[in-house]
Amino acid sequence: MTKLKSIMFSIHTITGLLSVISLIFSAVLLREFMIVTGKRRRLIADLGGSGRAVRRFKHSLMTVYLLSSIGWALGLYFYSLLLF
Amino acid sequence: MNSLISNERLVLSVSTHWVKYVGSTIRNHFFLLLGIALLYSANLAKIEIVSMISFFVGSFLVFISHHSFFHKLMSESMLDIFVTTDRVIYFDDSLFMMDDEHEVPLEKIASVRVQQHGLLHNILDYGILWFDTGGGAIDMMRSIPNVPHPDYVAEIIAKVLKDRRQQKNPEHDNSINSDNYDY
Repeated sequence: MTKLKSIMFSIHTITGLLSVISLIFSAVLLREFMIVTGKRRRLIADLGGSGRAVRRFKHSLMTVYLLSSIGWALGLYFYSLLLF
Repeated sequence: MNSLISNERLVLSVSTHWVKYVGSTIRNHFFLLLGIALLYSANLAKIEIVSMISFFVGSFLVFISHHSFFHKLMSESMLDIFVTTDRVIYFDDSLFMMDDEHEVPLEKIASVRVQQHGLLHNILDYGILWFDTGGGAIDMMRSIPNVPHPDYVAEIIAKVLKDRRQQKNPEHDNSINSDNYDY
């Protein structure tokens, strides 16, 4: 019984860890995306263009990615709590 | 940056064709569905160890497919083809993996060729833009893949080239101005 409890505890720990890793990965990827799009926008601005459309699309994509990552991480953790 | 010193102006900026997403989207959705099926089967499994393995493999597949899908989307969503009054710039990048920039000065371009081979290229109107810089054989280093409406882009580049040549000719006084182009 104690062994089973420890296995269950480790499952929840691993799932929680996977969720946290997922969120950290999302944050790192979003940061890199912001840096690259910033460089691209500066290039467009230097050449006399407008980066307005790029900015709008960028924010939508980032929001969708962030929300889906949070949703997936929380969903997975609570599913593991429900399952085991 | 050169553009700050010279009178270089942006003529056209486009992103490569959406067909670039198709392969990775199909692959990632296949793994996502497989992961979801495994997560669901973890609930149905009678044996504890089978349920655990199914849960972890499913979680891992969903994790990979979710991030891989958005990684591809974010890497490719930016504008990556730029035609200016001095050069053609093409960015080939993937976040954390690749950051390539190809630049072809317009003064080196003798002609522009469009390649649209196959049913998909012609139906979806995309293709390869190849710049003839006098080398002869088609070199993929001097080409841009997945260009949307390649005929239109080639036409714009040809127009800029023509204007540059006219500017060099003292009989004509047509200065290059990005306002001349519809972008």
